[in-house]
Amino acid sequence: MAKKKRKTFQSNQLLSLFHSNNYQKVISKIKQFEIEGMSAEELHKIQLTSYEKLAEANFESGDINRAMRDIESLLMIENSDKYQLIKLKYLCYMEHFKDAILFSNDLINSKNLKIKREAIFLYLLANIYSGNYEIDEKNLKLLPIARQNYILAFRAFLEDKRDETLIFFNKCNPRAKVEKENINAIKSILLQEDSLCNETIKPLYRFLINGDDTNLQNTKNSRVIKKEIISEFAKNRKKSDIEHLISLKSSIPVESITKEIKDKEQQTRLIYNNIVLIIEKQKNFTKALELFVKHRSSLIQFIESGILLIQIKSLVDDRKSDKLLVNFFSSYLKLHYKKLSEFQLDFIFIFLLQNAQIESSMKLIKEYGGEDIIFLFRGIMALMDKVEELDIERFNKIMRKWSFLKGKTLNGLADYIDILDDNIDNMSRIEKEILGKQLVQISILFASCQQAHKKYQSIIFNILSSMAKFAQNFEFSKNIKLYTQLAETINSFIKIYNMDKSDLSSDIKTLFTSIQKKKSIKKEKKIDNMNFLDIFESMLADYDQDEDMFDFDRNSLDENDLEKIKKDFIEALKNNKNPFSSVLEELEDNFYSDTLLEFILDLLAKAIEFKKYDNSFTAKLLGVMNISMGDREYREQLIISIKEYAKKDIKTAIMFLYDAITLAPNKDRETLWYLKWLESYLYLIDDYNQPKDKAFKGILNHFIRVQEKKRFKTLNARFEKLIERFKDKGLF
Amino acid sequence: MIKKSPYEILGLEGDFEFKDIKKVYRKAIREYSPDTNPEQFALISDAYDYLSNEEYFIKGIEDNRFVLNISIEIEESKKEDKSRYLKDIFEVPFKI
Repeated sequence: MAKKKRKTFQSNQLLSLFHSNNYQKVISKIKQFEIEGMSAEELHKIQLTSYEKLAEANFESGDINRAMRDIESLLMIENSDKYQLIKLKYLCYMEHFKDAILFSNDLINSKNLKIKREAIFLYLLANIYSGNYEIDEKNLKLLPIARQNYILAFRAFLEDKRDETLIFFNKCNPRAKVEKENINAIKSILLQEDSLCNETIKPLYRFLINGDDTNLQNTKNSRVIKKEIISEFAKNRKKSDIEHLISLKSSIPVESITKEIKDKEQQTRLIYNNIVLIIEKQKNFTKALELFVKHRSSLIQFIESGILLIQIKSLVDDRKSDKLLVNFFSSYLKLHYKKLSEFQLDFIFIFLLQNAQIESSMKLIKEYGGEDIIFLFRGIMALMDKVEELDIERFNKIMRKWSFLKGKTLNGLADYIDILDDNIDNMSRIEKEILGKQLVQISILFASCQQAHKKYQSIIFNILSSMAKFAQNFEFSKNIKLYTQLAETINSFIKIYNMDKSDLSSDIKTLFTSIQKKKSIKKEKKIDNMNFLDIFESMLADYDQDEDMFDFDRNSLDENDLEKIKKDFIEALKNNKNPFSSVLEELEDNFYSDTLLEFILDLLAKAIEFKKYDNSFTAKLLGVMNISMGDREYREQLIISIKEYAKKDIKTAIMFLYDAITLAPNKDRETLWYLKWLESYLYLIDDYNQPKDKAFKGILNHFIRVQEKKRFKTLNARFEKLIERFKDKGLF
Repeated sequence: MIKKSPYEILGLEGDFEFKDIKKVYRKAIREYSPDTNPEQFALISDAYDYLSNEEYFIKGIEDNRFVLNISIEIEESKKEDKSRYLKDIFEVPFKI
């Protein structure tokens, strides 16, 4: 029967494995296949190197058994002194000292001096380790001085002669830096001194110094010793962790505290401080909250814990823990109520009303005398339907004694009314009626105030101002009580604070004018004497809104009237007269018509044409027509018209763009508008070679910042497209 | 910023009442005058302001985290003589 032919493997493939240090595969392929295209000599060399490298790698990683297996395989194909020496070394590291002594006999007589010396060194050490402290002086003398001293030092050490050991180790001064460092490591182990470890320190020394067992040879002895030493190092490490926590250097795992510190009081204090460090150093607020919740029953003993919990809750958005708040503070107040100031209690009460379950919070707050806070939150802020005698008493009590927190809470009423004002157009008639009645009740409550602390003045007038502005949403003839009651309330506070009427806000002044003229006056935004960039900068500074929609009614308008007004307007411009004729005021009822919007743009274009246009012109024109500066439709029309006007008159188009930007009120500065402005800018810069001015750069940067932060999905496609276009044009 | 608990700075512990804060504060500033102990005096004044002044308190909550006093001493770890392990595991300081 013919011998089965071995499969072949290409030499280049083998070399590829060899050069990529894949020695195990190289050996495996040589065993399995016939290697094509490689001489026997070359193959032998590759095989030797592969075994040697494998052995070395296994030895260095601490796998002495595998290293020995590789070197045995190597010796099967080449039994040289060089490889026998490696086997001798491995025998020593495997702690097979008797075998090592026997195996070294031939090597000691090697003709290669280097190998001879290495073999003698290992032979002498194997003798010492196996308990034979008699040193063959003749062979010892053949070693370098550093190694001689090491052998002598080690013998003294095994004989427990400490002083002698150190003398010899001190004399042991090898040339190589790495070897010097290793001698120093041995000395520090003997002297129980702290020592720094680097990568060059031998695995055993490193293990004994810091417990790191990386690459330590895996022998029977090392396995036993590892268990002992690692647990000892772990214990010391925990102590060191606690030291770090006590000195406030870093937070540590809570398990270390509970295991290491037996005193319960100190244990809880450490957990408390640990939570603080997790907040301050790690900035891991969720973890801090988790720990607080887990240990709350013991942390509660500290008066500081209440504020700490509030601090954590303000840093993390977690609704799950809200459920625990009332229970926690119920127990907390039982323990610490007497120790707390009124403002601290108020602070806790406000926190509970904002974060915890409202009914149970109110019950707890009432139990601890927090009715004032409930009154401010649930009474005033909910816009009471009817003012009771008790409310008047409570309000007067609050107003007499200044409280920063109560003032801040009260000021929330102004913000709330402003929100209502912004949304009034979306409300039903019935909702509006209820609000009107509630506003009268609030005014009655405020008017009942006999005495108010000086520090409440700005807050009170802030609220009154918001109320005055809000009142203008109600038709005067049908809401006379609202206007007169509010005016009475304002007058009462003017008297209390002895104020000059000229210092009153424009909204309050407008309210008095309304009463005089017996008609409501819609609020308009003043932008007098502010240049475009000032307005733009103020807009950027306050940006925080995005979604806000308005709906407008559309009415018909007689185009003949408009033609006449336009004619008069132009005449006035030509003759340097006031163009804002009284005729324009009559357009009030029609001002959301498309026709009127186009008409206004025409008027503005004419003003520009006759060089009568300035920063405040548009504001004046809209003001006299009682059109709100925040009117979205108007601004939208401005944007649309830019392209149209640019074809006829680029200057007018630019003015319109500036108007569109500056007329956007604070509350209405959505990112969508920025996008529209940018698109218009791009059009003007690109098609009409207009310069990139400061405003353009400001809008662009702001828009990119907001969009990248908020990632409005609805705008993203347009945003990406816009950026691409800017890049294409070299504008970005 | 990490600061020591204002209660502990003033020495308030156990079952005290809010009204006691002023008393302990007065006692403390008598003991630590601004001339002889300016640092301790500043700490005490700061702690008192935090506990008695509403606006100072609100600002403090925003800016500060308070830690508690710890009164434990960590025993210095006994240094075990690990040199005996050199006898059991073979290692040489030289490259061989």
